[in-house]
Amino acid sequence: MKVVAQTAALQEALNLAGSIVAARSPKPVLQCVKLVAKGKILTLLATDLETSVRCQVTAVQIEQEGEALLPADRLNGIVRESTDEETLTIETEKEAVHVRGAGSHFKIYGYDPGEYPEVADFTAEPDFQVDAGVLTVMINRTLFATAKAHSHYAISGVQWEATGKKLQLVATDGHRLAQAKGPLMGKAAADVRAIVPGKLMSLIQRAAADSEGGLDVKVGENQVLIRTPRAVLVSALVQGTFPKYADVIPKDVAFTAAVNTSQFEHRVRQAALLTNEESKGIRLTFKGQELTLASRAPESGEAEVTCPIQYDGDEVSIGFNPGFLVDALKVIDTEEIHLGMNASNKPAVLKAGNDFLYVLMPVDLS
Amino acid sequence: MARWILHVDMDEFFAAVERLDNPALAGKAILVGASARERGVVATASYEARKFGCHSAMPTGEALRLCPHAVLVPPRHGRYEEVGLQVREILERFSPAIEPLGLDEAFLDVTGSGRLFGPAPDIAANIKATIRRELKLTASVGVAPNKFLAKLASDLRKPDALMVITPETVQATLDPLPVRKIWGVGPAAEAQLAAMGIRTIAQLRVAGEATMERRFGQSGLHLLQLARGEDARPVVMDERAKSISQEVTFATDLADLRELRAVLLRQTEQVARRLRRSGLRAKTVSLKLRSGDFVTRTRSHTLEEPTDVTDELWSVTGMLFDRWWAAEACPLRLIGMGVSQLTAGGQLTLLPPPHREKRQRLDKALDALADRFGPTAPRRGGSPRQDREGD
Repeated sequence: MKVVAQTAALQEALNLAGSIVAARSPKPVLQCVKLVAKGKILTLLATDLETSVRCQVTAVQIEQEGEALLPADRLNGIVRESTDEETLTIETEKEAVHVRGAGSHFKIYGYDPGEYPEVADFTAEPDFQVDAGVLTVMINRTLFATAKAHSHYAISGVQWEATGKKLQLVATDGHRLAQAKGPLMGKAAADVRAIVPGKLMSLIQRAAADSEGGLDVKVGENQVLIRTPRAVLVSALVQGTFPKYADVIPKDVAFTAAVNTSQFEHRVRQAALLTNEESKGIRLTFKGQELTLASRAPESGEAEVTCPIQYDGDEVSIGFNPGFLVDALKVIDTEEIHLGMNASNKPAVLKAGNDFLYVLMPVDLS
Repeated sequence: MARWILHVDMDEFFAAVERLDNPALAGKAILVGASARERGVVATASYEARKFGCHSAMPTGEALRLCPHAVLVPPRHGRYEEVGLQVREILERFSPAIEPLGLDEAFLDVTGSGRLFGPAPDIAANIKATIRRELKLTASVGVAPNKFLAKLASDLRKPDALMVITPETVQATLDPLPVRKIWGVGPAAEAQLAAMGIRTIAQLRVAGEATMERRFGQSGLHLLQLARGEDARPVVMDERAKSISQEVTFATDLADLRELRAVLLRQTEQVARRLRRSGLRAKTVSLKLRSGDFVTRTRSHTLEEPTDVTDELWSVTGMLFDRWWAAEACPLRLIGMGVSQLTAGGQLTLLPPPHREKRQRLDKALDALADRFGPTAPRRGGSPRQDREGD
C-alpha cells in the first residue's frame, strides 16, 4: 500500500476513528486503526467491538492499493505533530509502515491487517433519513439524561422511536427523563424502536458536527448503522427493556409556572452555590408572580434568590436537584419554559416549545 | 401535653455479659477491668463484688484487696458493643426517639408510643421482659415525666427494677432523698448545701431562690427546678447515624454455608428494619468476616441508589458473601453486615426498581409482626431463630 494523504484530512479522520480505539487492551490489534486504500479512497477502520467506525479520506492519492494495521496512538501522534506538512506519504514495507513528510520519516511496526475484526458497512437501504443538525440538537437534549451506572433497566442508552415523519428520542436515569422530538427527511421506510448506546450518540455528535444534509439510519436486529457524508458509524444496540416511560410523564398538572429560560438557569446556578453533598436540593417556592429559590448547606451557609414568573396557582414549595434543572435548561433554546407540578413528592414536567419535554422527580428536603 | 420518658439502664452490664458468655461465673464476684499490674481500674463490678465495697472507676488493686476472691475479667469492648447494639435494637421497636448514653443506658421518649404499646409503665415492663427473653440480661427501667426523674427512678431500686414516678408522686418520691441524688450535685456542692443545713431534697425545695442564686449562681436556680422535679430537656436522638450494623461472634467457628447465609439474612433483616425505623436509606453495604485465626476481612459494595428495602440489601449482602465463599471459604468465628452512606429524604425516584412496591409491602408487614412478636415473629425463609445464634 502506498498513499499520499492531505495531512488535515487524515487528522480529521484519525480524530474520529481514534476516539473509540481502546487505550489499553489485552489484544494489541484493538489498539490499532486499519487503513484500507482502494480505488480513489483511503478508509480508516476502528472498533472497540461494541462500536465501530469507517472514515473515508478522499483528499488522497492512492499510488498502490493495500492495507495496513497501525497502533492508533502512534499514528495519531505523528499526524498531529506534522501540521507543517501539506501531505504525508504512508507506505507499507513488510510488517513495517513508513510515514514520510518533506523533512520527516517515521517507521512504525504494525500488525497483520488480516487479524483485525470485521467492521460492518452500510449496505442496506436506510430506514430513514434525518437532518444532521436536527439530530445533533436532539442528541444534545437527551444524551445527558442517560444512566451512568448499572441499572435494572436498559437505560444506559437513548431510546429511538421513528414513525411516519417523526423521530423521538427518550433518555432517563431513573430520576429524570428527557424527551426530544424532531422531523425526519421524508417518511420512514420502516418504524424503528431501539436503544442506542450513549457512546454511539457522542460519536454521532462528533461525526455530524460539521456535516450538512441528511444522515442515513438503519436499525437491524442487534445493531444500528449511521451514514454521514464521510463516515459510517456502527454500534451494537443496548439489549433489554426500556422502561414504560409514558407512565411517568404527568398527564395533568395542578400548577404551571412560566419563566424566562436564561434568567431561571442563572438563578438556579446561584442557588446551587450553597448546596453540598448532603443537601443537594434547592427549594423552589412559587408564590404570586415570584419564584424564590433557596438553599442551605449545613455549616456553610444559605442562599435565597428570586425570579419573576407568570403564575396564578396557590403557593407551592418543591425541592429539586439544581444540577438536574441546569442540565435541561442549558440545552433549551426557547425563551420561556413552562414548569408543571402536582406535589412535592410527585414528578414535575418542564416543557420548552413542542419539541422538548423533561420530567424530573423532586428532592425530599424534609 | 405531659411527656413519658423512660430511662433504661442495663444492670452491671459488662459483668452481666461476661456471666452470660461464661456460666461458670454465675454467683461469683466479678470485676471487669485491666489487671492491677497494668494499673487498671474497674469498669464494672458485679453486685456480689459491690457488697464488698468495690465499684467502677476504683483501681483494680484496691478492689481486689477489698474482695480477694473476686474473678478479674479483662474487658472485651467489641463484645459489649455487640450486645449493646442488640439492646438498642430492642429499644427501637418501642420508640424512634432514643438518646443513648454509652452502651448500656438510654433515654426513650415514649409519649407517642401509647397507641401501639399501651401506657408507659406497660412499655417499660415489655422492654424489660423482651431484654430478659431475647438477651438473658436484666435492665432497670425508670418511668417518669422527664429525663431527670426517669434516671433517678431507674437507679432507686436497682437491679432489675421497674420504678414509675407519676406527676402525683413526684414530690413524695423526691422529698426524702439526699441532695446528692440530684444530677449535678457532687461532693463539693453537697458539703456546701450541708453547711446551709440542706440535706434532703425536701429541704432544698423550700430554700429561697435568692439564697440559692447568691450561693450557686445560675446553677442554683437549676437545682431548685430539679428539686421540684422539673426538667424540660428533650430526648435528643442520636446524631445522625453514620452506619448501622449487626455482627455475631460464634462460640465455636461455624463452617456451614447454609447456616452462615441464614445468620447473614437475619442480620440484614434487622439492619434494614433499623434503617426503616430511622427513616434512612443506605447506599453502601458491607460484610465483615473473621476466621478462627482472627484474620478479619471486609467486603463492600455501593449501590447506584440508596435503599431501605430488605430484599434489595440482601441481594448485595448475599452476593458479597457468595463471592467470598466461592473464593476462600473457611470456618468463621464472626460474621456481620452493615450499611453506611445513609441518607434521609434526598432525590426521589422516578422509575423505582422492579418489584420495589411489592417488596416494600412485604417489609411493612414483617416489620409490624416483628414489633408485635419480637424474635418469634415470622420472617423470611432460611433465617434462623435468635436462640440458635451464638451458642
